[in-house]
Amino acid sequence: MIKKLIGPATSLAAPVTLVAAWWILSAGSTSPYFLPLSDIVDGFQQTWTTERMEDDLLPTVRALGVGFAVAVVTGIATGVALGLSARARRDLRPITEFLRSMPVVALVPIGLVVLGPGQRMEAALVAFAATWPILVSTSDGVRAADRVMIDTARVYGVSARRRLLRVTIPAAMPQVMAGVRIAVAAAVGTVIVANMLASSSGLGYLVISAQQSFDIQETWSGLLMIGLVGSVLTCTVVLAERVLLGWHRQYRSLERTAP
Amino acid sequence: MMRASDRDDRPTPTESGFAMPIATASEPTSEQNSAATAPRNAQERPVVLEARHLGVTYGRGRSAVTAIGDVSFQARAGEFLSIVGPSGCGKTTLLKALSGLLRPTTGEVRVNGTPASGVTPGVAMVFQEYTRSLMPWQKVRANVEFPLRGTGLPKRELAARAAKALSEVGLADVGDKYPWQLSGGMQQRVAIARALAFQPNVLLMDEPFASLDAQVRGDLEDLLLHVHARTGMTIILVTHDIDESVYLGDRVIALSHRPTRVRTTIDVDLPRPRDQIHTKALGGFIDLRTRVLELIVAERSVDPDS
Ligand SMILES: Nc1ncnc2c1ncn2[C@@H]1O[C@H](COP(=O)(O)OP(=O)(O)OP(=O)(O)O)[C@@H](O)[C@H]1O
Ligand SMILES: [Mg+2]
Repeated sequence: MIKKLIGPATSLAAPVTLVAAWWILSAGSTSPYFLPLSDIVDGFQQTWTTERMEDDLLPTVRALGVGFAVAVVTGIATGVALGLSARARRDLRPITEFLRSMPVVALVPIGLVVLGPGQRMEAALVAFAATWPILVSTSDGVRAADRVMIDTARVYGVSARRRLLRVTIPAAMPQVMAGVRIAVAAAVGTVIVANMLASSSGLGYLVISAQQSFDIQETWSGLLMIGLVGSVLTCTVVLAERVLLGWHRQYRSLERTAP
Repeated sequence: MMRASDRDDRPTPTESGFAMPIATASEPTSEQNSAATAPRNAQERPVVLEARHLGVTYGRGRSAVTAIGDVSFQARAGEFLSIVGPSGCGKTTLLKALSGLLRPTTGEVRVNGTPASGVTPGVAMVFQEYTRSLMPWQKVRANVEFPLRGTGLPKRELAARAAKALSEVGLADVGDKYPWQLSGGMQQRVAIARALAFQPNVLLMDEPFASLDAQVRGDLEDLLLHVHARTGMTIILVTHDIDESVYLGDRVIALSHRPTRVRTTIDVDLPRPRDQIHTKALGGFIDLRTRVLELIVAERSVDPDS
């Protein structure tokens, strides 16, 4: 019990130290670019009025959320299908490899043309970028699901559907979640880039327009908010992982302590 | 409770009792005797599982490995077959073919007289790689219940069967642990409990006791004998332990090297019920194990790999 409380507390030590160091070291800064952290925090409060949140934060969060959810669903579904079928994997490899190596930034212009500016285009780009890591690791996880475990279920007459849902997918789950975690970074990066290049609102737009009008304080405020949004999404994924893969954390820690 | 009433407490026959073929003195008449499978009696039972000129080749062309050349044998209802053979001769492959997990390249498997297609219903298998056959994300109890879920069995019946099977293998109190929190031997017992809870018609076991210490091994051998006598299920057990093959089986099938054939079948005409101390002290037991051992040594001396 005590360990449960101390664990998260100690894991906060490093970030807290870092922020404290930043606060202290930047306190006397007179550089117009490296503002004291206290000024940044003040600016953050000034920048993020309710109105501003509705105009710039909400659209970005919505595009990010929708795009990410779509990526999780398509990534897992396609990944499972590819993981199960060697033939599909082989036949589709040229296409998946081609699309996967496409930088998302390059897709912004065509996204603009096809979907027009706005959240729909942003969500689509986020979905595209975040699908790949999930798809690839899901497919690997499904492929690596233990043969013996699946054969056991087959011998006992477990239906194909139940085998998939109760054996193969749970067995692949640690890898699926690893992919989802990687996808967070891809998704946040994509939504900001889309904001910057093709929008007239949103977090990315706010940062770049503040920078262009030399409002350094607001630039920092935007940056801080981007970091927060990313952290919240990461925390959500980590929480989901804890719920879904509680056994796996114990399992791994056991393996590590084994002689 | 059931165990006590089911136990068949006939006195252990003397050596002379089976030096002669069993049919002489007491032709089985009582119900009790029919449950304990005397080999002679077994000849009249229906064949439940049959391998007919079974052959399995892995891969194709140059890299093809013929694991099983031509294997034929029959398992009758209620029979306990032991299979012994050199390492890598295809014992696991044979069990996979018998269960329907693997389609034979040549020949066929017949189930109750008809050619098998796909996985045979009512078959349970305890895998050699037992650790890998348990699902690490499920607790022990859920692992044991898993094959029964989705079969329409009421929840209470399901839980009762799992609990009974776990207590039979001596693991009544680990239901709430994860398999990987248990020792290797305990995990193997969980896999055995899962098979018992399934109440199969045919139980296939691939070196199930190999990783256990002598004490637990003896206990589980006796548990298996007891379950066999009580339920009359057909058991096919692969082992590399010669004593075990003779102690448990009605017949011992000795396999050759690859490409594998049946080298010899040895009838084990030891009386049942058997027990670790008395059965293993019988002259007949010692003769039989010597014969099996001789066969295996002879097979080793023609090892193509060494
Ligand atoms: N999936 C497979 N693909 C190719 N070859 C295989 C495969 N499985 C088994 N073999 C080969 O078939 C032969 C028989 O394997 P099998 O596992 O059935 O033997 P075994 O008698 O069970 O061995 P052991 O005594 O080690 O358990 C071996 O030579 C093995 O290399
Ligand atoms: Mg084997």
